[in-house]
Amino acid sequence: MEDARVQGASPLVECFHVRKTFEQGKDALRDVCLQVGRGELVFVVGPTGAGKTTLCRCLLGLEPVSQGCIFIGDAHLRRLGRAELCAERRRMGFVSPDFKLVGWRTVVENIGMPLRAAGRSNAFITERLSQVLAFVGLTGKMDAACCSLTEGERRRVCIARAIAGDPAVLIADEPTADLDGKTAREVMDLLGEICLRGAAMIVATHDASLPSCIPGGRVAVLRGGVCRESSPPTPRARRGAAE
Amino acid sequence: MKDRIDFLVLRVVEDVRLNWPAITGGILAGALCMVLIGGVFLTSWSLRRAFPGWLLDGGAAAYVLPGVSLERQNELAAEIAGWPEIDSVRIVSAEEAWRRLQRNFDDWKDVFRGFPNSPLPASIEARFKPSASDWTAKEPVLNKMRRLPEIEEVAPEGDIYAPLGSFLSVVRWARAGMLVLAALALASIVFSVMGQAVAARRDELAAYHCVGATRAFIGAPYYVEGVLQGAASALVAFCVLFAVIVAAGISHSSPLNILLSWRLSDSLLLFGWLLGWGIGLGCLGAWFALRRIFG
Repeated sequence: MEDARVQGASPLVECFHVRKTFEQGKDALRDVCLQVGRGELVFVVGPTGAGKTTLCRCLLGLEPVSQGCIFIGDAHLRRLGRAELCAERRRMGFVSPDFKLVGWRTVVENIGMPLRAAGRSNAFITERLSQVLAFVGLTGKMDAACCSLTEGERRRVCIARAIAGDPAVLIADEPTADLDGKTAREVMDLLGEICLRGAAMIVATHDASLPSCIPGGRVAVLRGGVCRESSPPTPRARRGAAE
Repeated sequence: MKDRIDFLVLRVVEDVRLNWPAITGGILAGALCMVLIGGVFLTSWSLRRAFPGWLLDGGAAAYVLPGVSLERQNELAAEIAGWPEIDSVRIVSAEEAWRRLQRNFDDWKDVFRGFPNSPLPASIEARFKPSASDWTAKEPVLNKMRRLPEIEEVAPEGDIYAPLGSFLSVVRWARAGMLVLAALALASIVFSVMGQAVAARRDELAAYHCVGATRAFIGAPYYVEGVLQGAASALVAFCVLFAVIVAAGISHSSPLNILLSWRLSDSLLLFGWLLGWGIGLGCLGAWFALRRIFG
């Protein structure tokens, strides 16, 4: 497959001096600046407790940021209403570290969730599910309950659900956690392929060796809630910094 | 759109199948509350019909002798209105008195049809000022009225019903209190049942939340269930109350029969009333349950 990554294109995901302070007064994120363009892959690497999951949740709009701003495309997440935020979330895919799958539901029911939430027709859902299942290699398991799958298969279901809605942005939080080396490699190959198709991808991981699995990805180190990327700030970044 | 509705129905059916013991219990417990609400409705409805407001006003009606001209009636009214204890005076013609009687005793309309003209006399209705509302202040005024030459009889309207008036006032307050209690109980029951259903599906709801489902999408099946539960409770309660009405109407003697004389339109009104309460409180319970999960 042709490398579709477009380095330097206008960023799809932009974080400007993002700070997240929880009610207890603990700063999970202190100063995070990050830009990810279409077809770009950024690894956010940091030890456990560095704030990777919080950053992912902030990017998804599941947690409001305390300071700074996050843009997904042209949408300023802090300024979106509840319904607009849901619509924006439907444009993103999320691979959760704890899967967030419904164990007693079948593979197709789990993967179809974002499509159901988006109000897609049954015909569209059926067609899309067959494509996605073939892509992640789970066609034979489509009617299996998720609780009967292996960890690797569940991770694949999670990835399949994340890409079912054909998202412009894919956020994967610890996608290889608890997986053996071979399965982790398979999952990363899958993510690399998704990125080649043009999605902006952020992979949060504690495993510093993971970026070497997919060549061409940028690495941003998150430590103590501080994370900066090296690319020069855009005009919007300067505006964001001023807010 | 059809696919969306199908999916909503599927989610509701799935949830009911999973949670049917709690839902059945909720419907029955809710029906008990609704019986209480409906019982309050029935009592106040029957009392209002048996003792209309004009009986309890506490005024006096001075019945005019037959053949007294309208002019003279006006003069008499003006004279009575001039007394310091009187607040207001109104002339009630024989025809108006007849119409009023027919309206208040609608069940006896077949009896009324036998009269070609009003058999009732015209009257002058007087309302007392609050300062003259007790019997010791009223009595001299009533005697003064009786002494007027064209007045045949004076009837102090409210006195017989004065104790009843205070009883009805107590009933009114009790009714309000019971309605609030029963409504809270029903909303709590729906809240508990829905809360259980929502908690059982917490993982699924969290997953839907992550993939961008709106609150309306996530909550729709629970609102539908809340409405269905409230409506089912209302239906059960209506059946129980209707059975009570029918049984009481057949087995009791005349006075209670008058109190419980029930028409089809009254039954529909009762059912509508219960249904409205059931649906409203069902929605409220579901809303609370979802709010507890999503904040």
